[in-house]
Amino acid sequence: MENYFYLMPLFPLLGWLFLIAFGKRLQEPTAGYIATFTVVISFFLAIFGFVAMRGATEQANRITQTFWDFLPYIGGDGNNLKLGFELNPLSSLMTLIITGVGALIHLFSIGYMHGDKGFSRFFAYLNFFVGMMLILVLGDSLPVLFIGWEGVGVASFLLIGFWYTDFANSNAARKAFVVNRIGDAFLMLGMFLLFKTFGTLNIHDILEPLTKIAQVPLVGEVSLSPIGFGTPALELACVFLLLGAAGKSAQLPLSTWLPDAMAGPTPVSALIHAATMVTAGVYLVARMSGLFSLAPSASSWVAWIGAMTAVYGALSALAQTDIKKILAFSTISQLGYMFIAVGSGAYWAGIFHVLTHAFFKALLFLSSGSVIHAVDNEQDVRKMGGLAKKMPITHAVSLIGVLAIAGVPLLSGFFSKDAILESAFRSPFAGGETGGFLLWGTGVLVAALTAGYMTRWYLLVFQGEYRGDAHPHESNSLMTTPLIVLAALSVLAGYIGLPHVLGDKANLLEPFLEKISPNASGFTKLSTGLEWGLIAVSILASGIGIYLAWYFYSKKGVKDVIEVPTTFGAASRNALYLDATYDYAISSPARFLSQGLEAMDDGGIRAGVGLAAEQVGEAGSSLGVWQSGFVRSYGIGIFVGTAALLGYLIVQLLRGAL
Amino acid sequence: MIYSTLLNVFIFLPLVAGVLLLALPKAARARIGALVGLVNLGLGAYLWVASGKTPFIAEWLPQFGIQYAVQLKGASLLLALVTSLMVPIGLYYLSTREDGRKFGGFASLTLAMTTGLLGIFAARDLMLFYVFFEATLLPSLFLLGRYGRAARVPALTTMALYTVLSGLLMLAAIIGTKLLGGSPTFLLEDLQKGAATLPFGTQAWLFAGFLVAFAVKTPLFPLHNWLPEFHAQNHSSGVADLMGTLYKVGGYGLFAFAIPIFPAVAASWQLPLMLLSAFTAVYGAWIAFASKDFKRLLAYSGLSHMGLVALGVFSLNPVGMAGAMYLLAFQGVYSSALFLIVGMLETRFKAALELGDGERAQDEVMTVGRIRGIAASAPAFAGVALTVWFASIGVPGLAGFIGEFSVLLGAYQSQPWAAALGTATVIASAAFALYAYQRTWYEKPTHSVPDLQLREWLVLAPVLVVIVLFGVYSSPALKLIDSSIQDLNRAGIFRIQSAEVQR
Repeated sequence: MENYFYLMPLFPLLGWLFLIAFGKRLQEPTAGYIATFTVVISFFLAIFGFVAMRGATEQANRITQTFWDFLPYIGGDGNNLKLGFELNPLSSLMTLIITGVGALIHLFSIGYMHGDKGFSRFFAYLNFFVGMMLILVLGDSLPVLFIGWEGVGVASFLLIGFWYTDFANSNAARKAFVVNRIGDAFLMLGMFLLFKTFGTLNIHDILEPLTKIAQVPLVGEVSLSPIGFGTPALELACVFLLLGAAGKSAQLPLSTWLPDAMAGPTPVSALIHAATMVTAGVYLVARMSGLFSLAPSASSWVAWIGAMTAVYGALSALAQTDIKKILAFSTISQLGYMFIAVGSGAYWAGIFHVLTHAFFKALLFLSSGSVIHAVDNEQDVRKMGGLAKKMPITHAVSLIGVLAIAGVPLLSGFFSKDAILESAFRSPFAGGETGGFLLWGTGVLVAALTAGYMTRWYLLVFQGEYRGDAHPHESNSLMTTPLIVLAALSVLAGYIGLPHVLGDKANLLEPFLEKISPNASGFTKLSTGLEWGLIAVSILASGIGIYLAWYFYSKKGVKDVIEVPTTFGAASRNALYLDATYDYAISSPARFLSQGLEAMDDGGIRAGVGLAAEQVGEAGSSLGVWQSGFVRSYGIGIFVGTAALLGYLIVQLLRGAL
Repeated sequence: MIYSTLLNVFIFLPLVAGVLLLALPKAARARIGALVGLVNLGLGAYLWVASGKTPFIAEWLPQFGIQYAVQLKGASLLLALVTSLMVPIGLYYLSTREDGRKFGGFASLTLAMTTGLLGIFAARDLMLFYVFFEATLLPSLFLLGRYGRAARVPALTTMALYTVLSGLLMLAAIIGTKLLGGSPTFLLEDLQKGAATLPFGTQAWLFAGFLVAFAVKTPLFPLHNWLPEFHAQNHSSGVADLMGTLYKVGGYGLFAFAIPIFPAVAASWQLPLMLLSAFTAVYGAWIAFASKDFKRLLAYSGLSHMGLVALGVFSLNPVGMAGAMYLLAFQGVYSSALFLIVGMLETRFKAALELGDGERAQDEVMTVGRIRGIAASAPAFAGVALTVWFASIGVPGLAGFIGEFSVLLGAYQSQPWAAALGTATVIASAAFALYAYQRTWYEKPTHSVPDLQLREWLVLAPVLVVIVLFGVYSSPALKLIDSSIQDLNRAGIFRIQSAEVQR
């Protein structure tokens, strides 16, 4: 069965085609069930693949399937690059997340999108997204990965702009696509440079020669010349890939599209803008880990960009008032966390957090959806509150989600966060002990902030008195069932990656992923005491965050705090003015320059070379086309041409004669 | 024997049919013309399958070394196939339009242009190439002059001046190459051998002659000024623009003639030429963002594509050159289709705004953003248009990506900075395309328009099939292009490049 893994993207894509073609004729829930069914089929294929990969070894860790020629001469040795797919432990785990969480969100959407005019269209797009996301993780070469990479961008565009008659939604959709394309341009440059260095874009063929030098300790200036390329090329390629990843994963400086992307229906925010698509950047770095682990500078860039973004997202989330925007900035922040992990060289920890985050963030988004649904599409948390009593199930699962993301011990987020913090502390790429400490410290700070803003989110939505004027009610079972499943996963998923202090066998995930994305070499060892100490500090940080939020939003009373605008509060609410800065510094000048150039280019036709044309044209325009200057000038042209030809022929004749 | 006969029929059937069409009633001309186009497409398919190995050569003016030498293989065949695919589509679309049925000579001129284009791609003798190259201009100008919008005369004059004058330079260069190189005929192979013996300075002058002519036709900045108005002023159906799009053969001329004859000059001028091409690509996309007229917007978008084509051709890298031909061929499908889509928009907008045929009305109809939100009333149209537009901005999985990606990748191998500049197009093109799309199909609906009709589906369905098929299953087209790349390889083009890099 696992040999048919390449069929995984096919089923959702068939579903997409079917729903686009016949969706209009289907009764409402049918389209949703068809779409869900195609994803479930892929989910079963993903399980078969995963089971096969569990038995994989470091030598035999991949199944490949190639088809026909796709791109000219870039598949190695001057051969055409073929369209091909590869299943390995990493991509297999990703397919499980995509199809598993994807199926749950499809199911949830049947309830959520009830009554929408575009019901079938929504599921068609959702199916398209899943298909493209599967291509992204299964591609065996960078260009095939890129098909999925831009494909999910297209899906994201369509779904953010799903309610396209709204001006703001259309703008958000376009912004997401264009900002993503900035990243994509860099990803392309990365591919060009990799091809120049390795002569192929097949991922396995790029990474294979690197494994031979992976064991060399990276001390000082390492010469990689024996196999024909130098460190600078690797570093630069990795920086290009990082910028590409930053676009898709909404990292600084390309983060601004994600909060706007919340314009899409909430299940979309859960699936695409939290659980799967935005983690593609993390996946890319982990997939190319063989490259990154040999590029210490680029890796530390990854880690520090992640750290900055984690702080930025957390600070911006603190004072947001939109129930989904809080989660959006939280996602930006958590993605930063994942970047810290993969930048530290602990690729498995990054993917671990992708996994747990997929569960609890999808859970939180869907819970928001359930809430928004219940309060007549209100999204302002200031007009919520007290929903715990009215929506017991949604409340319970939300609380689990909040505790999981806040890093409360024994829930999944705690374990993955701990794995990241510990890796950052002892990373070979952080720049020595001080660097590691700073990276870890930043992570701890973000952990406290995360616990803080998520507790605020929870208190404002569920506790206190209801401040709105709708009639909240619990959602139906079609919507609550996926919530309960995700809540269970948010609790349990952490146990596949227990910390080292609990024994060598405690961590199931790391050895599984190490078969394809081994950790970078050179991690420092920690004493057991220090490791427990780090865990204690991160628990403490979460506790402080929760306490402060509780102090301000529950004990002191909600009203005072959310009404008082402070300088910092305003900055946070405006996402540290990043959007305004970009508009002022980049978008507006670009627009004006474009208008100026257009005018100039238009004028150009009447200037310079065009001037002559205008003269001739004006002279003739009153006489109609046939007497007009163009015929004359064309006539002159033909005349001169003929004359030249004749002249040449005469010369030829004379030559022959003489 | 059958092969070479059919090859010649393939080239000249459209012209002959175009003349005969004039004997039919006006209303039937475009439809019959489309049928002829279909027959020709069938012939093209035969030529593809039969794949003739040797050129068909007949003496034409032997005392001057001019041969009638034609051959369709490799990239030439691909371009000819795309041409013969798009002509029946365009003519069929014309026949379904009310105004299209009233035109007397539109279909005939289109068919005459078709013969010219097929001749351009088939010619193996440079004098023959020149004749086709210039002869195609006549019907193109007549289409604009006879059926264009009111302000067409300046557009016409500009284009005529640009092309004719630059064409003369090429003629001089062709003759000079033969004369100075001392080759017995104007056949490409002979000219190549002759030119190789010339000193570099002479080669450079001759190459410059070709370069200017092809740069105008491509077009490349700053010789592109004829293009925006050419498209803006052509008939609003977009059929003439379709032919104009197919007529952008400058990139092909560089690929098939100028560079094979003067590889050393092309190699030593590579950096400035590639920078110019990359700049053209970014410049076009950037200006398109501010274009208010739909057709000017598409013209600048086309300029951007052509900059990329030239970037790939000048890269002298097999990946880049193959990508350039892929891009050139398939932009003939999706860029042309976009012009037809604008034609379909125009009929809808005219009806929605209840405008007459006056020129002011015409301008208003063609303004981006005058009518918004039509996805609500025409969802299928919205989906099809978006797909074609995505193909045009190089979204992978559609035909535009393969060309664009290969061009940029190949360019990066020889001149990374030029490639990096060109890669900025990826961003700029997304910005302008989605902006125009959003303003038209998204946002609050201002009017309600009809969705795609069956006849419009018949126009756009084959386009959709081709851009999806050749976006995923590119190998048949790659195989064709590969044979041209192998020829260039045998001529040593790529060795020159690597020597250049090492120096």
